[in-house]
Amino acid sequence: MSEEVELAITDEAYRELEEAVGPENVSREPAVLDSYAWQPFANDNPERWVIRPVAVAMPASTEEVQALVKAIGRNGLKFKAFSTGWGAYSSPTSEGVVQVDLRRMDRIVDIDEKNMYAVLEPYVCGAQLQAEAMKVGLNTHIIGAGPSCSPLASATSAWGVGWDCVYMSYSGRNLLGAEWVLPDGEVLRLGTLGSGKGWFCGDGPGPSLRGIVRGSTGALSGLGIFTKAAIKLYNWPGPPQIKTEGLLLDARSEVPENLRFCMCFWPDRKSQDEAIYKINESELCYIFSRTGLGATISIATPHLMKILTKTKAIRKALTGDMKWGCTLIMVADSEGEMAYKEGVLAEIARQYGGAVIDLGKAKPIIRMFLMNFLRSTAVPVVFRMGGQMFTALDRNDTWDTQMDWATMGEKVKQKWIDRGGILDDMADNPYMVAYEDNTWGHCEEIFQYDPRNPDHLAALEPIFIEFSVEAAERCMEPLSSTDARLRKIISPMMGNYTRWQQKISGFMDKDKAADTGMYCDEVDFDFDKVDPEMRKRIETLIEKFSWTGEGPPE
Amino acid sequence: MATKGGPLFEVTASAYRSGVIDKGMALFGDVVDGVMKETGCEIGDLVNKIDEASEKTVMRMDALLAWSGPAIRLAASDHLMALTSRLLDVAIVRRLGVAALTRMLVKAVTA
Repeated sequence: MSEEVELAITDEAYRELEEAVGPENVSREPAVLDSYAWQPFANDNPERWVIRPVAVAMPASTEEVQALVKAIGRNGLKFKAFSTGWGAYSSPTSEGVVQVDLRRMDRIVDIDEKNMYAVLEPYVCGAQLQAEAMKVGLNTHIIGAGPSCSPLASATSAWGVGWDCVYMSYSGRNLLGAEWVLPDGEVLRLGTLGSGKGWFCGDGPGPSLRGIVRGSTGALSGLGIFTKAAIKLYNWPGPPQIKTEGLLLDARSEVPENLRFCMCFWPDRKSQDEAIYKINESELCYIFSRTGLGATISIATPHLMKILTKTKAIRKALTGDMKWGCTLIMVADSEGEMAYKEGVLAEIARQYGGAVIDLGKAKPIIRMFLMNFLRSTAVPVVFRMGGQMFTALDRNDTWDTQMDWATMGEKVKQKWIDRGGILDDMADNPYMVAYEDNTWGHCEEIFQYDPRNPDHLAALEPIFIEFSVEAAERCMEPLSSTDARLRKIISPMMGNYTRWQQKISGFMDKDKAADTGMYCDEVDFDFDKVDPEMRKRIETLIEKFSWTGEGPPE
Repeated sequence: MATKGGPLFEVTASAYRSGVIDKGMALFGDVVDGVMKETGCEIGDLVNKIDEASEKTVMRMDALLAWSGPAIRLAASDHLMALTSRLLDVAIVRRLGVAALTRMLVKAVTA
């Protein structure tokens, strides 16, 4: 054991962690700790791993989480929860943090078929829950990060968008009753659970704490650890099991008769947007997404994409003629319902001059695509092109606003593609979904890069800042609202939200036991690295939009 | 409120209106099944074959597309698509089309 690690946690503190969860479930071995410190996604330097925790502890129950959190607080350490993990967001943001790995809490506690919800522990993943839910005619929302992620984590603590949002909503809105270990080790049971009435409601009695739990993003473990949560489930009219062989591009699934998988194309943006509003108002979709055709090619055939970017006519066809489109899956409980849905889609296509391609007619194609969309298993292939990707998102808003963000994102990306700062995927690569059969949606502009390329690494920070500025100029909340450096700049323009979060944190976490780096901490931003034009835009934003003591600017 | 899109979109839209897309997708599925059967490839192998296309081949296709403007505009004709749709209703046309395309793709895959 290295001297550095010995100094990181005292023997006495370590013994208390052992007492909380058992000696076999705690480690401070450097190799073990480094396996947590290597979190490639959202880590902008392959040589600089995220901060190594001082120890890792694996509780198996709520009581053990309580004991652990209390021991951590007593010893002046901090905790950061890790359920299934997906990148640096689950990692420590400062020194002296114990990683609380929740993988031993992996049970689906209950599936209430009648009331359509499941009670989960943190390490249950989306695929696991979906497989069990489908057996009883139900289904669960799976986030865009993929089926290996924890539905509890996204419902309680972090974002929550996915292709199925059109039917199965956004993670934070699916949260019902929850069991929450606060930073002082006490347990708070939310909603009906707190009144001994079961898990079916996450709010009340009296004022709901959902806003404090979630805010717009989630506290990313900055306000405690969620040990159980009830998640709303939705109707699944398909078979109890979709038999599938192979993985990703080799997948061969048995396609249910009562399912249609369609790609729609529209002549221009206006027709597309109007048609999408109509499609969603008509409640046709089980899955809905808008992704550029070039983006689909870049993830399925990344080598081909590199050649296609050199073409002229093909590029024009992909980014021009066939630019405006969406992909959807429809399911139905009866033949009549499916006929109705197909008829409505055809009528919308007629009204807005569109074309509908039913991929189900080409059996080998839909057999490959089906679970990639229905279970969101396609996600890993996005890393194929350069080895890494990142994203620029605003906040959930009307579809029109999201399309504006996609258009802006394409322009910013093209500029950086031309400069050699990111890989060329033909720029139009938005991950867009619609929510709840309604008129609001989500858009994040995906960009891909090669972490072995110094030019790409050097471009990441300026791109991140540029997207943040573009969002702030449009009065949108950028992804960087969780970044302690940019939060300090953005918060005053957004009602000083950090100050309110710090008050909540101060009230609930008097000993500062939670790692709040991604929740409410602020650090100074180094303006020296920002180019003068961008710096001027930031200064203008601060001057124009900062709140005063009296409230918002005029 | 329908407006006019780019030439390739117009071909797609016309093909959709006349039913050629639905019929064509079914035939395309038969072609892919046939290629998989004859070559022993899985769908993922075929995707990887496409991914391995040479720059020369892709550029040739790009040039072909660039020179195909008049043909594409002609193909966007609803009359022509209606005729194509009727032809695709004829079993022997479908069989010959699938066989020809399968042969061509098998040759490309095994080259």
